[in-house]
Amino acid sequence: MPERRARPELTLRGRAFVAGGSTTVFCAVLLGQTALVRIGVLALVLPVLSWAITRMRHHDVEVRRLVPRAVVPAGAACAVELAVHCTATETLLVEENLPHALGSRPRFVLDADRDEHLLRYVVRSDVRGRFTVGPLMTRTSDPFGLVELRRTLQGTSAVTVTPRIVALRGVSLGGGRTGAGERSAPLAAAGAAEDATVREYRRGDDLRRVHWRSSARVGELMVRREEHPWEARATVLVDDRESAHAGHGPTSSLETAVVIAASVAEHLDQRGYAVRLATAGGLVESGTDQLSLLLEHLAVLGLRRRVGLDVGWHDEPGRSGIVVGIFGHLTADDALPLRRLRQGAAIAAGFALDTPQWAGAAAVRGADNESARALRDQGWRAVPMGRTTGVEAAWRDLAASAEVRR
Amino acid sequence: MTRADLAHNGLRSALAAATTWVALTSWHGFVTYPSAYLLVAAALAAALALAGTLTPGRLGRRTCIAVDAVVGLLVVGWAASGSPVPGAGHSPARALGDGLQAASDYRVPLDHSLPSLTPLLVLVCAIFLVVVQALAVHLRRPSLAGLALLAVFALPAGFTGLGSSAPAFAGAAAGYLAVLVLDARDRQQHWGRRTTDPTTGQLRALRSAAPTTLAAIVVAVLVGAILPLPDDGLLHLNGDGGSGVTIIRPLIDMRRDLTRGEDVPLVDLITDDPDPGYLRIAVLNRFTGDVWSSGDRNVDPARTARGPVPLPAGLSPAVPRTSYQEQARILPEFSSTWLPTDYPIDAISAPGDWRYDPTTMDFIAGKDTNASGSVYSMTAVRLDYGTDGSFFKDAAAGAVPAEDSYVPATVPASVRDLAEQVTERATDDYQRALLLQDFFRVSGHFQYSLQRAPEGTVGQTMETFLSTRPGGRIGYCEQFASAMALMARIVGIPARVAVGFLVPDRIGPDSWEYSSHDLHAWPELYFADAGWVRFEPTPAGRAKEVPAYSVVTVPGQNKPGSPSTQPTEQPSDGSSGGPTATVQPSTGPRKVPEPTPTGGGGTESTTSYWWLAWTLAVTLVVMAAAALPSLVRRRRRERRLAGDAEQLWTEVRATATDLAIAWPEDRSPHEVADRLAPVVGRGEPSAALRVLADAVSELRYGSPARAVAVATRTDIAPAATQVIAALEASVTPRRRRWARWAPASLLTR
Repeated sequence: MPERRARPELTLRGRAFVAGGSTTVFCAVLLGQTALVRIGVLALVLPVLSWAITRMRHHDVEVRRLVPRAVVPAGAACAVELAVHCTATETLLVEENLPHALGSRPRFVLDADRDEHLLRYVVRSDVRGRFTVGPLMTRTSDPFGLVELRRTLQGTSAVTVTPRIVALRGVSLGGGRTGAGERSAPLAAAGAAEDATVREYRRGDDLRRVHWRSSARVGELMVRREEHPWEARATVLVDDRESAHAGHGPTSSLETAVVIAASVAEHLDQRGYAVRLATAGGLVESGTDQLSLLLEHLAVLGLRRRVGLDVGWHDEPGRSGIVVGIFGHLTADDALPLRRLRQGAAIAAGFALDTPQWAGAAAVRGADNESARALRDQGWRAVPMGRTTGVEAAWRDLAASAEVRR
Repeated sequence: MTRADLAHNGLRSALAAATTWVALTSWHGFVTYPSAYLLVAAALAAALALAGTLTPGRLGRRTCIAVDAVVGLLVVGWAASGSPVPGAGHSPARALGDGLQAASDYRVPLDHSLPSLTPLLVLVCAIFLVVVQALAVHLRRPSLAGLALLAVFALPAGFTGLGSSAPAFAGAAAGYLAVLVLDARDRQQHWGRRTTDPTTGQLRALRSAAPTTLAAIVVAVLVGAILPLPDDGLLHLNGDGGSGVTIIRPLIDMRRDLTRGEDVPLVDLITDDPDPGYLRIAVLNRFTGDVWSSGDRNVDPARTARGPVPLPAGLSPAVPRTSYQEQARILPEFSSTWLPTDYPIDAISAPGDWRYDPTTMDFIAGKDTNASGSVYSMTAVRLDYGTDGSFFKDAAAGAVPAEDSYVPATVPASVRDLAEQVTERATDDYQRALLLQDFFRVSGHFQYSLQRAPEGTVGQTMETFLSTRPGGRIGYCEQFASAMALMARIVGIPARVAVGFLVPDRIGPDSWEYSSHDLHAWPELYFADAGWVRFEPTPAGRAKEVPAYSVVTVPGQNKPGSPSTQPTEQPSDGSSGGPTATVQPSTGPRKVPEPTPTGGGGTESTTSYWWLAWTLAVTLVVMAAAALPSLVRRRRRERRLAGDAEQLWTEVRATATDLAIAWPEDRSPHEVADRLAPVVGRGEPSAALRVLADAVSELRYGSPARAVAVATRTDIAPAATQVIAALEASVTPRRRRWARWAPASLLTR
């Protein structure tokens, strides 16, 4: 099975040599100057010879890529390690293919003095997302720099950049000490150990939390859930409908929504809540109660074309704990789902993004917006969120508005 | 700056400077003593290399170029003014101006009597050196430096038509390609993050480029040598040095025209003379001690080539004479600022601005006149001097311009002694002239050879030519004519050198043709009553006939190797005018066959030996070249078979490549072994292959401890040998032979 070989190509210098050489030979033959014929022939033969030799020469290049931490928060460095095994006798130039968001493409010069090269570079992105690292492109050239052979080595790795998180220090949404959400989760968990639910063992769980009785029954290792089953549950809802947002790419209102969602999720997680993620399409399943997975999901969250909010996940009134929604432009059709959510939740609080601001409209200081009103109409706590509003300030406002309402 | 940096910059600068210098050696044709300018250029190149090494790169490119330019200026100033201190010595501007004037007035190569071209050459060399250094080293654009080097080579091609010599080309090409390699490596090193020190590995890069460099240069030289290229190119451009035969500086142009392969017809002559003789182009009457030149011409505008012209000065009216009408047509291929005429003539009618000098009687072109294509008629006068020497009286003092008898003080004593020795038996000038001619043609055992003739007639060369040392006594008409004229002057006979054509070929009734291979030079000696008369010192291999008056035996003449056809009668007495007439009838003096001298073997047979030697040498080189790949391959195999498992594996792979057995790319050793198992055959060879693959895998992917274990195993080398033998046995004998003589693996790795 002969592999299709990459063809060497003439570099700019090589082309110049061919052009100059043929011109010189042509003129020299016309003028009868042997001395110039020699020079022209040399300039012509050299690229041709180099091309032929480069074509015939083959070398094996193998590359293994290792990304020790494949999930990193935005702005944090992510190291990529490359082990390149190359049997070339000439200098090998390698260039890693990277999306623009991860920065400039790292290039390495590998001398032929050894076969094994360990390379390491760091990527960093301020933009969330799942990025492909690789494939690795190699080039070798002849010693004169006339001919270049480029190859692409198959094999890529993925790096997930989770959204930026704004620390929401010390402000509790629960407000006061009364009401459904007043008890903090650890207290609830410490209370009724017997009715603690169990879940499957996951890496990182403390062995002391293993619920042996359940494990014996199920046949797999089960651990106690320390969270109180219903009261310590929080759901972060991100409105990811295309119609609800404005702006493009990293400057769109969706990005702000994702940052808020990530920050709130992290905040609630730290306070002991089991945080779930929901979008307009419904609850994001598959173990979303682990923060890192939730953040990974947020990392790749994109806009989707749908009309309504699917709140089918919320069918147990009063069992949803806290629901924090991040909404864009809300329409009258959303009133019903919002009301149902409110009914199911102990606390329902919403960030109402003033989307026209992301489309270029000027911010009006202190102004309320339609979405916030729509939320309040359905019994939500709501805070309007402008383009320049800080997440922490908005969060404090939200908490404060709760105090006022209660 | 670290030592590595120094070495890095130094190698590059030195290579660039050396390359330019080697390219500049191709200008040696511009001057007779090229070592003068080449030495200065070498000094400058060394200085530039040093400057390039020591000037810290952080000073910036402009500073580096400026430093180079200053160094160049200092050296040029030194060469032009003769003093290393600016301001001292004579004015460099004047020296350059003189050189420029000389370059525009005279044809290259310029000899020493003229203002030196060296300062001018040094200036141009310096410009090229600095430019190449700037482009190749400081600006890192060696491709552009290639254009500058191309210009260096194009310059002599445009001027002298001789082009560069192959060694200069090969040297410059190798140097340039090395600079290119270093630059390509540098660029690679700056392409991305480095894993090694960028200043190392230059030598390895050069080494890896060496085979390609060598092959490309060999191809270029061979193509240049065998490409059937017409001398004037395919366009037949009618330009200086581009086409035909050009005579402006007679002696120097002559050799080039003689050595060119093609015999180009140049002059047609229609005449009623049954046996037309030499045609004169120009007379060189000034001898500076180095070369013969045409000296100053007294070209009065009144002395035009229309109508009667005076007969040569000193000619006695008593000499019997016959007149013939001649019509000459100069063919377009012949470009000359001198008009070929018979000698002597008493009338001429030539269109164009031709003027003659009454003492030399040669015709020189005025402004914008060229002999090419012109048709003119003349009345030739044939003089019959007889063979009794009655018209050859010693010249009276003051009969000819002093310049015609001038012997420079620089003429070596050995030449003077030789002249005296050759003519010691003679009693008058006529006998001296006869003895001199005989010395060159017969008794001196001279050989005529255009190929082995020394360049020029400069002092040292003249001495060599006249000596009996190896390489001596070989020359062509230029040396014979100059030497005889000089020796005639030494013994007191006024003499000069004439340049023109030998006897023509008959192309029809009354119609004759002179061609480029007939170009010739001969001495003219002055005698009272005879005027300026021609002698013929060039041996009979070239000039078959000699004037009747010049083959008269001198009393007591010793003629070693004198052939039987030579007149044998001894003169009746030794007095002046005494020599007896030889066999020639007085009316047909030109047909004396004079065979080659028997001593020295002659050029003919030597040439055939040369051919034999050449054929042998070429055969040997070709055989060596054919055997080279297999030798290199064998050496590699020996080396690899003595190496570790990886090298053995490489050798197996190379063998497969040689034998054109498909080798799976990018597969693990085990996969390769599986694939090759059917080729080597089941059983033992296949097992050996497996052993080898195991070892390689251990070495590549196993732990260090396992690798060490592999290294100490003794069974893998025999296994490799077995696999190689099996591979070789699996193909046809023809393919095996092919693999042996043209191993493809040499081109891969």
